[in-house]
Amino acid sequence: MTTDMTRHGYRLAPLAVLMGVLLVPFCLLAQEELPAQHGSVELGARVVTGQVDGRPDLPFRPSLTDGKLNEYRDLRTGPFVRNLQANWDFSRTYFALRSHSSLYKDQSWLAQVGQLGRYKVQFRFDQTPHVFTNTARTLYQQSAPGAWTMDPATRTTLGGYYSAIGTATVPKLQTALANFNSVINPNAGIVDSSLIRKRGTADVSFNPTANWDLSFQFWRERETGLRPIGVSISGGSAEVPETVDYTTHNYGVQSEYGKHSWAVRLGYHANTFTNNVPFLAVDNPFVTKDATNATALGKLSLYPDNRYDSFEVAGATDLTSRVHVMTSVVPGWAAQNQPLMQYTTNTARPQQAWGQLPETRADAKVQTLAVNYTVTTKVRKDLQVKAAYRSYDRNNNTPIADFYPVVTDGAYAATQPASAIENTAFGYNRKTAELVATWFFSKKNSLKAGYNYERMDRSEREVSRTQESSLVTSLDLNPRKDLLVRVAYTHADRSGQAFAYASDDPNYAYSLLVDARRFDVAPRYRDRGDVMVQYSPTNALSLSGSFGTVQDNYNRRLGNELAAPNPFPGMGAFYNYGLLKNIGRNYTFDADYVLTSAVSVFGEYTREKYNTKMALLSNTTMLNGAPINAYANSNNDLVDTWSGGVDTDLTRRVAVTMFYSLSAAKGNILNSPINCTMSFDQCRALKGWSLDTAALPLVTMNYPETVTRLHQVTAQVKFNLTSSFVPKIEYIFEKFDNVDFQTGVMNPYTPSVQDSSNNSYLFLGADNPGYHAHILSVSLEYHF
Amino acid sequence: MPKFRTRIRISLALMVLLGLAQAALAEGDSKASAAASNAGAETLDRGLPSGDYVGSEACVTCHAEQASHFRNTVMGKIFANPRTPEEKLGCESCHGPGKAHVEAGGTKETIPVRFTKAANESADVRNAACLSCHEKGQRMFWKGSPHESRGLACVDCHQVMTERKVTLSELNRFKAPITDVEALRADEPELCLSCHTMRRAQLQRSSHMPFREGKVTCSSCHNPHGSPNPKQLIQASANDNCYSCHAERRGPFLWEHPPVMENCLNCHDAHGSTNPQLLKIREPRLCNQCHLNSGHPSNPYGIVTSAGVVQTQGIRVINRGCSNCHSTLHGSNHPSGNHFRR
Repeated sequence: MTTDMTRHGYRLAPLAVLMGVLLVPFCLLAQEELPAQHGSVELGARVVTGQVDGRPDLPFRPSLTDGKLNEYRDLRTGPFVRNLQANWDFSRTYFALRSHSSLYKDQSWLAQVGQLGRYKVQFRFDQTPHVFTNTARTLYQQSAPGAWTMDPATRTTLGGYYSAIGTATVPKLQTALANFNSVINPNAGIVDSSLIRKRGTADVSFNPTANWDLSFQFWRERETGLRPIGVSISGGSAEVPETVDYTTHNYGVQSEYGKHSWAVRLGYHANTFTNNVPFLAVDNPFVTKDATNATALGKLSLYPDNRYDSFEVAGATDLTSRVHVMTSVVPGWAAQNQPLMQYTTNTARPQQAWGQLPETRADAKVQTLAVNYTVTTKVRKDLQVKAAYRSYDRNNNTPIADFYPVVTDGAYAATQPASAIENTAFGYNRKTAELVATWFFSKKNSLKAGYNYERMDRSEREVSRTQESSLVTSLDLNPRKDLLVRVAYTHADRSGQAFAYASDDPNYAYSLLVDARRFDVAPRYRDRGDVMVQYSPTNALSLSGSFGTVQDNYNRRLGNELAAPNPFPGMGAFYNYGLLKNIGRNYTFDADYVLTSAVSVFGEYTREKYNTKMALLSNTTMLNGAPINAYANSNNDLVDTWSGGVDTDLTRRVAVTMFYSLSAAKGNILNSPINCTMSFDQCRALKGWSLDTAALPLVTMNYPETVTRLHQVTAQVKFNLTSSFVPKIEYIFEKFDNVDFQTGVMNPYTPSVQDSSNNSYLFLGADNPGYHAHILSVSLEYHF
Repeated sequence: MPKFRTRIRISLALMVLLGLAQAALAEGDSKASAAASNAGAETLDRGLPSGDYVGSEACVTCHAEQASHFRNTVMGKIFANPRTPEEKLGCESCHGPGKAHVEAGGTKETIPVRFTKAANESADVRNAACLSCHEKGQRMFWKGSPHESRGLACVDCHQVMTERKVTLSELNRFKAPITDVEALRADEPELCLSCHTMRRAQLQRSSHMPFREGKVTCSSCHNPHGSPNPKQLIQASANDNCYSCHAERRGPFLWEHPPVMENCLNCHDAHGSTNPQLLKIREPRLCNQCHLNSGHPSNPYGIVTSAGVVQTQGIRVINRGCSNCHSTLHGSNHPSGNHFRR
């Protein structure tokens, strides 16, 4: 635990370093001439009050300031320095210091010293907090970084409750649940589930001549904290806080030389990532000793250390007065060589000779190569043609080896499995070509039409090649100075080879029956349209509106489609399983009106609608040649965003702003059976399911609706007392509502959940409950 | 398919060829400009006699207010100690030669290049003035870029000669990252959102990156001046862009999840989402788009009676759905991690 003093000192450290670094050149330069000095500082005090009201069922009241309110910021009661800005300008040399949220968790600092047109030295320091939840609690303790242990007596008690379930029935499961919670609720401790990033950057740029730029960059980032993660352990899984301790270094050097008709750039960048906690070791919450069907300790491999190096060669030139060529070549090398862990931690399963790892380290290597060539030409004064070719290659050179992975530690085979599994070294190559002509049929009006082609070649996929052709058009009209209309439309057609699932792919069984496709490599039509209109009938009023849509259609008859298409509720026939349609639409409307020279108002409204339709299967059972357990799934998201406000200059000395925004979203996941006319009981009898067997495919229930709403009201009054003193009063009201069936059902707190496969799982109970907050701040801006 | 090194060599050879072609084609132009230089011409060759330039002193006699403001800008300070012929021209470097304007007594129409909203010049003409000095750096791929080809002018986003007028609400709605970039009409992201209105709504969604809080902004990922990459991204691919902050997800891993390594945007919406973790669709349905198989129930709960009564929650749906167990789905380095459970 850090003391308040050390914490305070840590916050001050970057400031002290920055000031020290910057004072050196400042002192040197100050010998030369008296600088023009100006800047401002805003100091104040803030009161944050309110409460978390979204989860009254919890046995404790979550902290307001350690939750969603401060997801990426640090609003707390107390004094603050909101902004700091200081500039010292010599005749050509300058020195500047800027800061936001000084000394808080979300602080940023920027310091510069430079000579205009000659050099610039810049130091940055940024902190970004990320709070995941304020409701996480756990019975675990972190005994060492990444090692989460639980008191053996508690595990024995929980394990006893688990064993008592025996053959699962609903009453038995409910009893177990109550028993688990009788242990968990009084004993679980609150987890500070948040991360913080701290990045320090140094940039040096230098212009030896007006045509030549040289720059160097270095940054170092440390990211530390805890965030929820699930760990699969045979005999009982657990969600625990993942110990995050990352260090990333970045180095870059770049040189660019250019004249009017040409420029060339060379660069080198290196990025190294180090995970100081490369794995998690987590006690099984229900098992204290390894056994042949369960393991007492679970281990999870976290992100490995890696390194990426890249070069950049780029150039642009006028080949003739009408032809301009641009090109870039960026080769890169990514690698990681982390030591591999063992297949299982289960000591009750003796290591078999065939179970030796084929490699001790990953030795994973990837080469990337991005190549771009673009030619633009003015065929005529009013006609521009652009031709571009691009290739991006991810060439995976990771050695392929035979592994015998363990799905559950308790099932670690005593005899050698029939076949080994090769690791997946995924690679791809994307080639795109583009030919576009733009006709500027008058000074501010243009029509664009073109063709795009894309070819993707992939390894380790069930479709090795896809090709996509697109026709693109757009029209930009500026018929009058007060009117701008932009219209764009694209139609794309992606085709691909037949799906060839590997025999160990879970979709393999379905693909033998019907056409089961994965959306990212499946044939697809895409239609995209956008319209935007901006109209300013007077200098005081501006209006704008837009409509946009992207519509993907995967429901295409190709190859192994269903012999007789099934009816999809609300859509019509479908020919394959998987994602069928993905449709997004959005409408926006903005208005700004300057009522008088002192008062202006604005209003905005956006509606977004998203819908995906999928045909899914729960297993391969057939009846009369058709799947009996298919179900249709429709996901609907609707988001309305409102904003409105007023800005006033009541007098020359008082400025007031008030604005309100609301982002309201709701989501529905709708499920309905397909192609089964049998009753529930008939299906159950056919399958031999017992009454309360879980996840009966034909029990298609809609998921509960999810809702998020964020209201924000802000009022700010700024008094220009003098040119130097500007007091401000600001009030913010924020209300967040969150109805989420996935996290909101965790009641009572931190449940252990049983399902039909009798899996027990200890959750953290991480949720983002709704809150309301009042934030009042009073500050003084001092300009010097 | 040629090997990696061969492809680099071919690509670089093509670049060299282009350079040679440029040198050959530009030879005539070079000779002409050398001749002009030898003649001691102080002004730019813009097809106009050098006598058409009147000098900044002439401009200041009428435009003292603008000149006073300009002197305090970064450009003004650089122009005070000019390094290039363009900078020596002062006002006329951007506005063109002023002789006709002076002789006409100062009518607006006689200014060769104007930058105000009311100006009649095309974006191309106005941009040419800026690009005569600012063609390098981030503008290297400006020509043919989406903003260029749709008629945007530099001054639609940047301003030099006028005081920036920003309302209190613009300053407070979205916090802008700390930056040394000056002369923008408004801070990012407000500047970009004035046209990309739908993004404003997306940034206000419950699941978002720290845009509103001023830690990330549009230009953290995109170069609005054009780039050789899709969607004007700064890095060579969408994933490379994401790895610049999330380097841990770069791998390469022993077990890779192909859609993840190919494009983060297959599952995430970087501009904001109503689902957790910026997901496009909530789990388990996100995963169901590819994984149609059993074990991912058609109802939201684990145990449901025939009467449809919910008894307990299923671990495949609640909390984070599939990733409760498949928690390393960005890639696993565990020898038993082929199902992304370790």
